[in-house]
Amino acid sequence: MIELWYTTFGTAALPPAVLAAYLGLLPPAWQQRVLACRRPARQQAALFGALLLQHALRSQERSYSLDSVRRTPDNRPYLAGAELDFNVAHSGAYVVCALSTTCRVGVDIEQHTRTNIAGFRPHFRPAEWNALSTTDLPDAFYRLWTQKEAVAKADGRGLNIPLRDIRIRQQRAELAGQCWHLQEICLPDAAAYTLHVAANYPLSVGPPRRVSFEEPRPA
Amino acid sequence: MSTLTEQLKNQIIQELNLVDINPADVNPDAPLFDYDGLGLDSIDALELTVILSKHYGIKVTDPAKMKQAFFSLNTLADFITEHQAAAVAA
Repeated sequence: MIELWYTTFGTAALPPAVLAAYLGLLPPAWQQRVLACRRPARQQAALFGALLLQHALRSQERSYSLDSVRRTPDNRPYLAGAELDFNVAHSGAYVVCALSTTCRVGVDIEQHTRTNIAGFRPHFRPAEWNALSTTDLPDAFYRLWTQKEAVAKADGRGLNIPLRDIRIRQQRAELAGQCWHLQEICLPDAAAYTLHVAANYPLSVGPPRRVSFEEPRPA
Repeated sequence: MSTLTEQLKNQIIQELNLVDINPADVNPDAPLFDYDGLGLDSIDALELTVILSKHYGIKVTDPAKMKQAFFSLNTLADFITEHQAAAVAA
């Protein structure tokens, strides 16, 4: 089974004392990464993404530390020396983390903030673009987008993969001869978001688990 | 910051609705897609191609080939300048 956790956060900058208290929960290298973020919304996503990943890793039978997380040359995070794979995504006020001990996973969530998507058309195959129901736009676009993005993130090359190379057929995708299985997940109270998980094995995704990170007391 | 870079910065902030950015704080050499730069994500890469098409008449069908041009505001401005110079020479 693929496990899925999520949390929500605000987009305004946190008061310095609150930010410092949350940062105290993370290893120093991850604190620096959060502090280096220039945009408050991006900083919140980085902070709660790290906290959520830490929660997911600690929940495993053998607890892992964020200090064991490395990055591939394409910047995909992975856990050194562990038989598990994970992926984190954020959009709007949500951050999600998928984890599997048996297969490779990718996750993407997207808030429906765009109403005019016509300009994106050249990046998709004519057949897949034409298949988007005109009465269901832009929701149908976000389904297609998060499917492709979840596969690109599971593969690990992300933005370096031409979108047209990822072929979506129902709840499956094919990229360079590799088959990926897709599952759409609906988060409670997140009607304006679309979320997909991709995996290289037909595993089901468990019920999404909400994690609330209470504001820690300053030291 | 060149006029083109300044113009690009304002177009990106406006069209990607980056409400939490003070334009004066944007470093034109900072990575567009890294957390310590503008922190853009992959769907924003599609938005950049729309900006290139709409404002500069440059058609990009594959953002995957734009890695170098999409590195920073300055590399994107250089890409536009080179593209425009090539179009004039043709």
